[in-house]
Amino acid sequence: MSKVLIYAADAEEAKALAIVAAPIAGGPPAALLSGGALPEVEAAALAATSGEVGADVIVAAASKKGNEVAARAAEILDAGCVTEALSVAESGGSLTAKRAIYGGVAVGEFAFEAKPAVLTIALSALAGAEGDSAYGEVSATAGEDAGYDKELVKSEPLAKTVDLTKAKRIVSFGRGLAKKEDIGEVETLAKGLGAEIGCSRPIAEELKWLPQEHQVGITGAIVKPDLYIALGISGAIQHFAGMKDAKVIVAVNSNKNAPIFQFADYGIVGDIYEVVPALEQAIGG
Amino acid sequence: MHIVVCVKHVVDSTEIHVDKKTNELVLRGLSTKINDYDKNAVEEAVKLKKELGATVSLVTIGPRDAQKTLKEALAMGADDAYLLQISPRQQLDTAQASLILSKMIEKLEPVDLVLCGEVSEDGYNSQTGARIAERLHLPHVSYVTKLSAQDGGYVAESTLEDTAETLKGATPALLTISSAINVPRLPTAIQIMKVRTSRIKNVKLADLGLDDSVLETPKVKMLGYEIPEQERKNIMIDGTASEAAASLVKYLQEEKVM
Repeated sequence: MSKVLIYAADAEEAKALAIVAAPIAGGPPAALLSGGALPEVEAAALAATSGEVGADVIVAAASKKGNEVAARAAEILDAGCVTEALSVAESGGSLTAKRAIYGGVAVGEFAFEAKPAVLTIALSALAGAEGDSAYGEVSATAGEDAGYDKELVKSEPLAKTVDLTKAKRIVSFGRGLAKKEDIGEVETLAKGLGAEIGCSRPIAEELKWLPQEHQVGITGAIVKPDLYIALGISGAIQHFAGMKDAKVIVAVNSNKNAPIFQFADYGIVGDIYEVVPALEQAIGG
Repeated sequence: MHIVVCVKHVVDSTEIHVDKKTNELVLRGLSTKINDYDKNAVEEAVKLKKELGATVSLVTIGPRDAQKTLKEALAMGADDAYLLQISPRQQLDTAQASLILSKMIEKLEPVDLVLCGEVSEDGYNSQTGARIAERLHLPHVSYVTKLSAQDGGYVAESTLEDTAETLKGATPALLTISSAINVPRLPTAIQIMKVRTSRIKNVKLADLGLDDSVLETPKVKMLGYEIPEQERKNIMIDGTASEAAASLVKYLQEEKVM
């Protein structure tokens, strides 16, 4: 079993991390709450605190901040690091973690060759962590001050118009849509269904037709609506990882060999420019 | 100003799929290419080159085929490229890759900015940038969605889950670049072909003061993988568009999701 040091943004996150880390923790983990400083400073403090409490495994949340602090701390400690872990285990002195690989098409099992080890836990795993947990909060041991010339000038909340992670129904489109002006068609269908609009990675990241908050996939939103309708989306694993937990998946694609049909409950091989208006009519009538 | 961009040669992740018979991932015979996210980093570097007269160097670790990735980035406008060649079967963990890349960057000093893509589309580890920064004792900004730089300093906007941060700092620094920042220029196949392979300089581990053992000592090893069960109905609906639409609506009403 390992001596675990939790690094968390707040008490709630620390509690969830303690639950996920329970299978490897010999006794209640120590927990260091973020001091809110720059990641360079946080990482140095985390590494120093880890030494101070004699931790051999550091566990943090796989938030963007969590990942960068964990990666820097791992480098300071000359440690292996697995980000976005779904679960952790230890048997026969060997520490292992599972994480999605290749965008979620498979779950890989990774072994740490040595300790200390650094892990960040996928936010989805933390959200699902239930039960009781205990940890002992420790105060930070200041790390070496590298004296970096960098300052936070401004921090403001992102103005988001949509939160797909909470949507009950999503109508999503991909490259099958020929031009930006045609998004109106998708919007009409979504409105009829009371659904939010989602899109694949190329639409948001390459074509930039929609802001990134509409993007479903491993670098976008991980969604689990009751109904997910994929229009003209081929079904790259990038996308699959973002919607595989939807209750019912519908795919419309003109290519009958598109991988999306393998992930779908209901598939229609056809031109979305014909099927979408037909669907609107079927819903209306 | 000297900018180094770390790029990665990856399998085209959109082609990875599961072989239904063996229930194993099909990874062989897939096409390989430059990591999409690194293109945004190269684009940002090339923009700064135009603005400030910067020199842009590329570094990568990969098989011989990684020349393709470097050629594409050179065709985008980078000036020179360095390849540390490894066997196509060689896997590196993030600690090994960061160590080697850091040494490659050190060789190119003085360096003002190191740019990386925010993530690689094969590993999705989001570690290498931050690790290199720590090893090279550089401050870093991750997930950069807006960047302005001049000699001696930069202002970068970093987009996190719920907040946008603006950071200001002095160079040298490392930045990981988000795909939201720009639309990378697309060199044509002919432009890429015209890039002479001789522009790519081969780097050996010994040149970096490392020996081959660095390739043999990962800190994290993949033991294996499992394919999660997909329990989907896979019902294909036939008929004309309106027939199919009508049947689908019926199914969805039965499922009580409409």
